Amino acid sequence: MSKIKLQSSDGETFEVEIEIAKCSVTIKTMLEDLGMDEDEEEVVPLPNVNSAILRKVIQWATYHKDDPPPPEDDENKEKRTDDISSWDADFLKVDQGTLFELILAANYLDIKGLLDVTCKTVANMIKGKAPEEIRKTFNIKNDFTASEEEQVRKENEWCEEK
Amino acid sequence: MYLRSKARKAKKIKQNVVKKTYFTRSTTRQTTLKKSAPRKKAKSLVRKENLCTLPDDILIEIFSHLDLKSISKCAMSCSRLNYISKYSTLYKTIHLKYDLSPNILKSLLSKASCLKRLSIEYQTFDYDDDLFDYLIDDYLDYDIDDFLCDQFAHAQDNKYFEKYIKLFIQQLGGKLDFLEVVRCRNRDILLSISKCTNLKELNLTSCKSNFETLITLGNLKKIKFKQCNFSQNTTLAVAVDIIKNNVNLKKVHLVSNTNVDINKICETLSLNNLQVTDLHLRGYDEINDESIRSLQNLINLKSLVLCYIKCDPVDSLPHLLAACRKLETFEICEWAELNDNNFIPALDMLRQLTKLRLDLTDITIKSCRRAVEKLPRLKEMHVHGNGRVHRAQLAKLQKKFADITIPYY
Repeated sequence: MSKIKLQSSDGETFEVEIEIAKCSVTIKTMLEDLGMDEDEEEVVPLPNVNSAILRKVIQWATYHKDDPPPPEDDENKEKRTDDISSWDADFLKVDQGTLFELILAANYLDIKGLLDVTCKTVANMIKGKAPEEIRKTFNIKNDFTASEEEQVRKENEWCEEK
Repeated sequence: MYLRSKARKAKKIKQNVVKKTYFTRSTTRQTTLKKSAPRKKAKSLVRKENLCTLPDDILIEIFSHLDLKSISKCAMSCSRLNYISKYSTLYKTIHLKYDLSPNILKSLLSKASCLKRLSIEYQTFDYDDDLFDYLIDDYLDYDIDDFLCDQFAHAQDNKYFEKYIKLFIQQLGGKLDFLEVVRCRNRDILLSISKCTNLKELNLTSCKSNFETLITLGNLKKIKFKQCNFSQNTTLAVAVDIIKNNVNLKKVHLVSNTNVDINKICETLSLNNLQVTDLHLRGYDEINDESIRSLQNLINLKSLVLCYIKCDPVDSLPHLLAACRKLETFEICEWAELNDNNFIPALDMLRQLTKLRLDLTDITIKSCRRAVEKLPRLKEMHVHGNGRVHRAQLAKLQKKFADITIPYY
């Protein structure tokens, strides 16, 4: 199995099987566009991902390397957030900063599966919470003026369920 | 040819340059970092991200996993999330329920320019039309007891609700792929469904109208009419015409509707809608043997459900199954004359079957055992309410064939 080297923003290099690296569409197109031959000893720089995050991403990609390709987005299918595998749930037991960094990395590297599962994890942290609880959970400041708040409340206050 | 290869070369050089700058940048950053904080781990060098600093497209991706109520809660928490909550791509699917406040209805309508799927649900209160008219006309003059007042209040609420339903259908109907309407008795609204000209899927449950304008819809792929009353003053053919005008229908579910000529529907389907893969007929006393036999033309069927249909078309079953070789789901219910003798030979024709249901028939455990042995792809078998199949027998079968789900009640 041929390997390539990935270099994080802080200069650390990681040797990864090429098939695993290619689960990132960004890396895959980069390799194709640059015409990198597989036997060439090249280093792919990833200036937007630091080593701590890149290590996590590689760990995720290695575990999921044999997954079938993710299905095409189907608008008709109900979006679920309760279908996170227990391995992924464990993998994502990290502080919020790391979780958001992972989302950004998944987005930059274009790894649909990882982006999906990280976004779902954040969605699950939001679900069922009142606005005040959401602020508390994510350390958000209420920056509405009194009149704005009244307006937003009007537009968004659903009848409470009985 | 030459030019192209030259351009490619130029592109390659350019990319290499870009690559090099990446290198230099990352190395310089590395050295400066090392100087300022040589012993710290890389992790603590990470810029602290929080929810609100994520870019728009990612927040939208996160919000796309939320129900509309949760999005509203986010909108109320801060201005950044409020701004994100207004992206119309988050409102592709909307469920309008009778108890939504006018403010919410108004704000949903203003955000829904990308709407694709709309569900409309009226309250469960089932009022009598005449009583309702009577209340409207005379409620001031009569002493109405609390119960009726309550019902009347609901009906009043509907006016606001219906005003917005009309606006939704008027403004956005043409964009809809999917429409579901539950418990609507408002004829104008039901007739206005014809404005949703691109509709691919239409579900109507407990609605009452003559539905006559619906025959103009021509792009339907899936229809599901359940407990609808295709009411008087019209020919019985509306449902038939809907089916006739939508030759690409794949899924047809008709469950306990009133004023629907089911035999005519079977005839139309078998002549006109050979694309159907999913047919579900339930609760039609008047269906006849000939109609069931005509369904053998539907050779693309993957799912066939025939329940509570009174006639006992055991004679037509072999013909039907012999023709429909792609069946994956086969459910029948209340066919008293279905027994081991006529069912077991049919098993050879059901090689693709994954789900089998044989409720209220006269088969014994012998058929069940043959089914799990003979059907290579079977995953689920339901045998409920069959006097001759005992719970213990099914339990034993389940134990032996653990890969197949065999519920025993």
